[in-house]
Amino acid sequence: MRLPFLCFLLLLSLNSCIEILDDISFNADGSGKLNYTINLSSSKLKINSILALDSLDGQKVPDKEDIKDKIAAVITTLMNQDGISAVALTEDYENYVFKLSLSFRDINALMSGVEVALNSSNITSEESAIDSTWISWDGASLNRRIPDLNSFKFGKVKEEDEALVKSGKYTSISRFEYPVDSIENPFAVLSKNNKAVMLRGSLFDVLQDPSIMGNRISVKPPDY
Amino acid sequence: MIIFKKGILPLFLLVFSASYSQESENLIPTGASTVFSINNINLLHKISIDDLVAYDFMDELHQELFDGSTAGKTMKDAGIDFDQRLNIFYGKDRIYEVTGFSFGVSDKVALFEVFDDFEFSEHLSNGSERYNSLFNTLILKGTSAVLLRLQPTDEYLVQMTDSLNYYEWDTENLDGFNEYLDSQDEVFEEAVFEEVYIMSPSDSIALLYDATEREELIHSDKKSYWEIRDSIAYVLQFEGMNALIEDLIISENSLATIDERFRVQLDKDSEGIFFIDNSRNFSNQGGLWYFQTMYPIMNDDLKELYAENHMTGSLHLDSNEVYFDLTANYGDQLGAIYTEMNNNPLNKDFIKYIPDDAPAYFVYNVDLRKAYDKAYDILLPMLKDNKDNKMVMNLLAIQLLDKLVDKKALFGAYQGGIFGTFNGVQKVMTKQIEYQYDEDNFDYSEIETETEEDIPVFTLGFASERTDLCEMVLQDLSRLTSRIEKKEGYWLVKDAILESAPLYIVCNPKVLLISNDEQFITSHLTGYGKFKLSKKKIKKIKKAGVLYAKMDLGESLNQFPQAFLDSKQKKVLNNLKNNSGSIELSSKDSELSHTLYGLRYSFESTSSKANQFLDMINTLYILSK
Repeated sequence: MRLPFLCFLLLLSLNSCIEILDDISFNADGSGKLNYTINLSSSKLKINSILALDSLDGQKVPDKEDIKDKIAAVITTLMNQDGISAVALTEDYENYVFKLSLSFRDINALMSGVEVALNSSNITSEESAIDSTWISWDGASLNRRIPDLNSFKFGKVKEEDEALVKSGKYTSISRFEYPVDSIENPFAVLSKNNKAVMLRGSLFDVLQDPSIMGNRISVKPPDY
Repeated sequence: MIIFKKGILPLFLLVFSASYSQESENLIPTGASTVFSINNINLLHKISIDDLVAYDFMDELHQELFDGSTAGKTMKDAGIDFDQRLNIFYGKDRIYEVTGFSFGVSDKVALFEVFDDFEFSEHLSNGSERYNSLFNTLILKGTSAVLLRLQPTDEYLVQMTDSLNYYEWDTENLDGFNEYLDSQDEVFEEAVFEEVYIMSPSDSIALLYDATEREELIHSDKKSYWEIRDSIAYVLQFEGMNALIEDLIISENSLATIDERFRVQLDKDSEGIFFIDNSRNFSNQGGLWYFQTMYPIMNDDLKELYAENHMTGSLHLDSNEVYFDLTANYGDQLGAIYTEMNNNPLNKDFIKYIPDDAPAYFVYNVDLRKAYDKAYDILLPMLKDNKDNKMVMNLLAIQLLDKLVDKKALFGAYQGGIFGTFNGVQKVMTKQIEYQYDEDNFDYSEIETETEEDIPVFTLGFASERTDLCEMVLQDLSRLTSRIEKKEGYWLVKDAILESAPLYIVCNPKVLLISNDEQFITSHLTGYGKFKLSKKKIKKIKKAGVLYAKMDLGESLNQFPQAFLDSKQKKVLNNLKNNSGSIELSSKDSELSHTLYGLRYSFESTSSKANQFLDMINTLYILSK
């Protein structure tokens, strides 16, 4: 029951150097591919030191096997979701880099799959359930946010960790088959081929205000 | 007549007031096993209440105090009488955990401006006044007061709740319990309102059991496990607090009245005193759960051994130094074991491996062989009194092992003596993954870069005459894994520290060394030579008995990476972190009845003496809890 919380307690303790990278590609038919990477490699000394402890701040520290089991359960749930396919996970426990990739039939299948997987994993708090409509795509216009990380059960960043958390990064990439026409978020950057938009922020800022990673992107489909 | 008035009346008034006055030290419950008593609380005049409640020893109590009513107020503003002691206490038995503090009151109105969440509850039979807040109880007796917080222990609460066989209730037929508990809650709510005590928790629990038999109690509403647990906690707390008040306030049984050892401490001429009754702490140690459960008889026998075990101490405050003298008291039998174990000459092989500039180091000089022999002589007859099957078999096993095992080889390999040095923080290179983006399409590739991380650098040494055994083990293991490599004069274990930094093992003839200090390995493998501890420092260590430790606060605490500590250690570290100066712990030779320890805290801080004093009390409180 408490394992997810503990896993995320572990993450909180480490988010000084978390790098999160989400990368979504959209096809013309509404399907697409999601790559989600959590890179903790710059904190591996700290992770190993925490994993070596029995408990941290009064909570039992999960071992690697517990973490593997929990991740496997989330992946299994995702695999069983309608409209979700090619689910693959790469776990690198030497560098602590975790990569999830999956294909989705349409945006609703993606949102529903993610919601079910997260709810089944019990890592979101009951009071602030994860926003299930964080992305919309009509073939010409993408409106996306990122889930509010504060809705996960890892609470607020402690004051003494703030400086460290500021070095964490969140990168969000949206890719399209057609050239991008307009971008709403002034901090987003367009690739030279005009088909990808990148938005980067400090993890600390994202934790404080998830809306800074929100964006509305319009693309120019070809005239048939 | 005039002479009578002039001579007798003042004397009468003096005697009367002396006999009538209630001192705060008499309001410490008998169940307190750890007490800090600050004699010279004039020292604390200027301490703000907000600062005070921020200390861990106030943690259990401060929720209601720390609500704005204390803002900008000092202890003096709070109506506290500085001519009486401030006593902070903690105690835990199988059922309850009690925390609190007692103090003198000079201005009741000012007091309740700070303690503004407390509401008057009742006049007790001896005239004392009881005030309650959500979690705490405040009793005003004469010119003293005690703030009490009593809670059932988690272990007991779980045991009690589980004993109600909750899972069996989770059927239609057993819902009656919930109805019954509801009715009990109402009864107790009324009882609180009317301040009338209704029944003991054991009665309540017994009635709950009876309820299983009552068909008429079957209804549909269910209480969750947690609600039942809360109900039981409430009843236990209610009952416990009433019993505590009856004993402490009405019957006037306090730690000072029942424990001569504590009374002696109170008479000490020092800024503060310290009292820990280990005989009670011993049986409450969570770490002994397995032992207590599996070997209850042996545990009882060992309790005898610990019966006279208590620690007393006095705190003295100088201009820039807090000195704490501590006496660990024990009975003759334990004393006989300690004297054998502790009174040994300094292991000279340790000294050469401690650099003079080490920010922190300790030497613990024990002889386990001598302690084992003495313990065997003392414990065996004690345990042999028991004719329990399990105990007899255990004793037989112990005796056979004693005869069959080569004790000389065993205790030669691990003699017990140990030293450690903290040599600061060292940078180690660790690999990390970064992403490189192609600006054309934001495709990315992983690149491996190196980054610097801080790790604490230490050396541990173990007295051993058989380091050849370790050499043999490493030799064999190195054939199994490439992570272990033989080098010139030492063994290298790659990525041994947190899978990132190497560890070095040195099997010298008299001492086994384990270190992650590269400089030590490359330059001081046979000792620090002219860089070893100065003669003055060595003299101090020699003069100390079994234990000597020295820590430079600025260089060690502020450097030490906290990720390597558990929460209790972190608390202690953070408590002292902003201070500079040094802490020196030393002992004298153990005697049959006691061992003396001294802790000297020399500070060079801008904060006040009072803050330093409270910092030290807080550290001791965390460590002793």
